[in-house]
Amino acid sequence: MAQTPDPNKPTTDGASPGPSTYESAPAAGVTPHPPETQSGETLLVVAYMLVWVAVVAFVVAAWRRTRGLEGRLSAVERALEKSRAAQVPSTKRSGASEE
Amino acid sequence: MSVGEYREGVRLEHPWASDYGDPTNSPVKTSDRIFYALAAATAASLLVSIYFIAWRAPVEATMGIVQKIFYFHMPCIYSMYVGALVCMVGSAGFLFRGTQRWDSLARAGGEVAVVMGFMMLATGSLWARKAWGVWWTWDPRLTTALLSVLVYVAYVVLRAFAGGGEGEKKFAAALGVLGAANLPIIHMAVKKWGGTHPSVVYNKGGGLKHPDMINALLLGLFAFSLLTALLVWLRLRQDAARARLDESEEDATMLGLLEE
Repeated sequence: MAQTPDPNKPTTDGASPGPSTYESAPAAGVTPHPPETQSGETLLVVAYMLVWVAVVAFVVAAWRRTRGLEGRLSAVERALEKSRAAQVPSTKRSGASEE
Repeated sequence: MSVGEYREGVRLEHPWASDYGDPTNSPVKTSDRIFYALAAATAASLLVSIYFIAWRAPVEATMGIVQKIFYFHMPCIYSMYVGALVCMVGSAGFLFRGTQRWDSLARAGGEVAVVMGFMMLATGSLWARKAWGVWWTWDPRLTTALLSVLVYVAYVVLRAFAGGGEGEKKFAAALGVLGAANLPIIHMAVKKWGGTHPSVVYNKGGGLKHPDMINALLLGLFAFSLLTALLVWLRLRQDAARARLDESEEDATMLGLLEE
């Protein structure tokens, strides 16, 4: 990453504290967080965990919704099948009487 | 039993329901076999990708181990672009044709874009904490990327809560088409406005210098291509099941088995 800034030097884009901030004493109750305090290993593990949690959550949610639909569809299909089975003998009886 | 068998002479099965695989039917159809094969290939490629990133790709000299976030961060961006493009194509198709198939495709693409967008923002933020000392900065590329994710969040929320009327679908389709307009702006943001975001892939003389670093990135891109296709297909299968259920319920209502 050629354009990556030096990790030991905080950027001066306004969002990050400038060098003078580090030299000053922190305000009461505020703990300064220079970049060195964050372990690269921890950040890496958290990043990969977030990726997997997001993917698994999406898949599980979609799968459960599909299963729910499948259950309802099976119930409706069974009801329709029963109804159709009940209609067939009556149709046959009416056809025989017409003959 | 197929829904198409309910009434003689009338094919009730949804015309496109089986196109993406039918999770309710047995025996297993060819499309289902392809779906499960894709799922297995995705899982295998992700495992190979993780192996390559963890054990083969060297630790970068300046950034250290946290640079390895990049091997999933970049594929997340790519997958968000693909999801957004699928959403745009589906939305445009729906506006021109007005069929459920295109609408489902747009919805699937929008949801995938949101998931991948959040993953992109989260992994990028964790990398930035180490590289820049901050979780977030209003860099042009970061800001335009956040804007794009928010557009697709709005799309998904709209689809979830605005109802399924024709007007709502058309409005969402317009949003799906217009949302893609921001994608080239994200891409060009670094060139146009500068900023602190690194340009690794297109950076001449910089970027990934070791062949195993390039291989790790390419494997990640391949694995996420499969993952994106799988997620879109999974979402399409859900819509196919819903379409079949709607038709079955309509038929059951006509027969007096269900109340209106």
